[in-house]
This record gives sequence, C-alpha cells and structure tokens, in this order.
Amino acid sequence: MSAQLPALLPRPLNSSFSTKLPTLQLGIDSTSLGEFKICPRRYYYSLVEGWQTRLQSAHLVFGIALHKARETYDYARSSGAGHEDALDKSLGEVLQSTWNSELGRPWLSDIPIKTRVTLVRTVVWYLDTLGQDDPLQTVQLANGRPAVELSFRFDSGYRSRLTGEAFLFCGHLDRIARFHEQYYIVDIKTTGHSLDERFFGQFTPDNQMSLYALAGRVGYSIPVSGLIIDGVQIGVGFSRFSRFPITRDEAQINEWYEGAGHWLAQIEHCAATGSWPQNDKSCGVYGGCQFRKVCSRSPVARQTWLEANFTRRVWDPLVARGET
Amino acid sequence: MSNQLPQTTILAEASPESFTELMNRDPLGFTRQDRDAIVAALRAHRERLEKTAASAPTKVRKAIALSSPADAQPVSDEDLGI
Repeated sequence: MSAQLPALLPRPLNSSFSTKLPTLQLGIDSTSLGEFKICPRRYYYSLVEGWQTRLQSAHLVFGIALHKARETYDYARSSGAGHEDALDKSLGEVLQSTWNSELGRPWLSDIPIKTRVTLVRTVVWYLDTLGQDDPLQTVQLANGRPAVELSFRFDSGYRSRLTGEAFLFCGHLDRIARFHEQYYIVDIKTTGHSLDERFFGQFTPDNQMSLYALAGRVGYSIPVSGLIIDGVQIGVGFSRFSRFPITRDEAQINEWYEGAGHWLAQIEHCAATGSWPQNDKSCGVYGGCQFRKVCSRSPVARQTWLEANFTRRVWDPLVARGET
Repeated sequence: MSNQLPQTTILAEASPESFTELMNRDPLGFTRQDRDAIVAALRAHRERLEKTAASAPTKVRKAIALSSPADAQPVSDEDLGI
C-alpha cells in the first residue's frame, strides 16, 4: 500500500540530493540525519521540501552570531592580532549582524535570555575567558588559515540500492584545536540551564557528536583525539562557561555507524515510496515541532497552511562554508 | 584623506547609561572608542557579579562528574582554562 504525499512545488536545486531519485538525499549531515531520526515527516518538510518558519528563531540568530564571533576572533588572532584587537573585530561583527539597518533598530528577540545585549555580553565574556590565553590552540592549516568553520565530506561506505549512488557524510566543524600535542574538535553549545552533568551528558550518545567523532577519524589528515564542548550558560543577567571532553571509543563509533546504515536504508525507502510517516510521539519534544500545526490539519489543507506560514530555503550540507 | 579627529586611547566612561545608549545606536558609525566602552561596561558588570558572588554565603555546587575514569584522560576543566 502506498500513501504518497501530493506533489508539491518544484524544489530548489540542492546538490545533496540524488539526480536519479530527486527526493533521496545523498549528502547527509548531522542535521539531516537527526531530523529524520526525530520524525520522517518533519525531515520531509524541512529537508526535502525545505520549508522553514518565516521568523528566524532567536536561538538560531544567537547561535549563528556567537559562532561567527569565535570565527572572527580566531581569524584575527591567526593573522597576528592580540586579544583586545581580535575581540574588537569580533564585537564589531556581532554588533553589525544584529542591527536592522532597514528599520534602524537593533534585532529584537522574543526570548529574554537570548537578546542582543545578552549576546554581546556573552561574546565579550566568552572570549575573555576562553579566547585569551586559551590552552586549546586553534590549529593553523597549511594554507595559513585557522582551522575554524571547517567543512568535511567523505564516502560513508553505504550506497543506495536503488540508484547505486554513494551516501556521503558531511558537515561543518566549529574548530580544531591542539592541546598537549593532541587534536580536538571543539564545538560551542549554548543553554539556559546549568553546565552540569545533565547538560554535558546529553552529548553521549548524540548523533552530531558521533558523526563528528567519525569525521575526526576519517575526514581529515589531522589525527583527531576527541571532542570538547565549550558549554555556554546564558541567563538574563549573567553568562557562564565550562569545558567538557566528549569521548567515543572505536566500538561506540562503529555502533553509531551501523545504526546510520539502518537509518539511511529507511531514508531511501521513504524516498522510493514517497511515504514519509509522522512520528507522532515526537511532536512535543525539543520545545515542540515547528510543523505541528501543519500536521494537525487535514492532509488536504496542509499545503495552503505551509505556503501561508512558511518560506522555503535550501539546506545543502555539501556546500562548504563561505561558498554561499 | 580622513577628516576624523584622532581617536583617544583612553576608554570612554563605561556607565550603564552609555552602554544602553550605545546598544541602541547604529553600530555602523561606531569608533573603536565606542566599542571599547561597551567592553569596559561588560567587564565592570562581570567584576561586580564576581565580587557579589564571592561575598555571598557559599553554596556547595555539585561538581561535574565524568562518566568513567577513562573519560578523564584527555583534559580537565582546570587544564582548559576554567
């Protein structure tokens, strides 16, 4: 039996999808795989069709700006700037990116702990704490650039049984740093909660960290020893920071890799049948699915709702950072 | 040729008023001195918070526990600058 979704608008060009089976994604990053694991229908709407809410979430704006601040800082330091000058560059970048020049006002957030003021405060305090005299030294690449916002892709070893095309694993790493002659992937994670065992515990097991651990083994010429989370706690009146190592041994990476094969087969099955089932046990998790109001409508009314309340974008993880 | 006045290296007064005013101004026209004033205000804020925390009654915090002794090998918080 087949319960195919109605054919929707032509999808924008996305190089991470198969040319033979256009709804089959071959370039798989942690976001794509994670969305499918949560719910195939959610994955279909957000990755295959490319729908996203019209208003960019404050979490996303805040996260992008904080990552960009660290990247700007690392670039400045690698070109010889001292802490104060690099911080100044970083701050200038953050202030500009959160100023709406069309409306002549600052970016307004609907989340009290993630505002322009808490962002600027977090950037300054974070770089004062974990930028200046950072024992994790950002690696300098052979081309002279710092190892920040690094894109990776490699053959997953899995192939589509239908098209014969290879699935690629891909993504973008925040930073690779050296510490005591060993190399680590460093990732910034923000939270409104305490930086305690519970917070850091959520990264084991974790789809993104496991893929990064695998990428660290096979995706780079640098032998990566592990991952480190730069945890950033943000409150209305304070920001706190803590670092924590995330480990994956060989057996754990293999276990994740085997599981990934299972999930890729399911992605392929859904693409082949055009059937992307709802996982209705996931609608309320992670703060509630953005597509809940779509799925709560009759199938015949969903397209109208999507077009009225969402906009389309291309999530193409095969495009290296800096190419868009 | 720029007709701007030479910038002073002295930090602007980092009052809460100037911070708020700066955060509501278009940063396109900011000088280094403006950004330094923001940094100075935020550092002063942090210092005040840390002083307050230091003088407050001690609250025992649950230490971050590593999941196994093997996990502790790569780095510790202290090593990493925390």
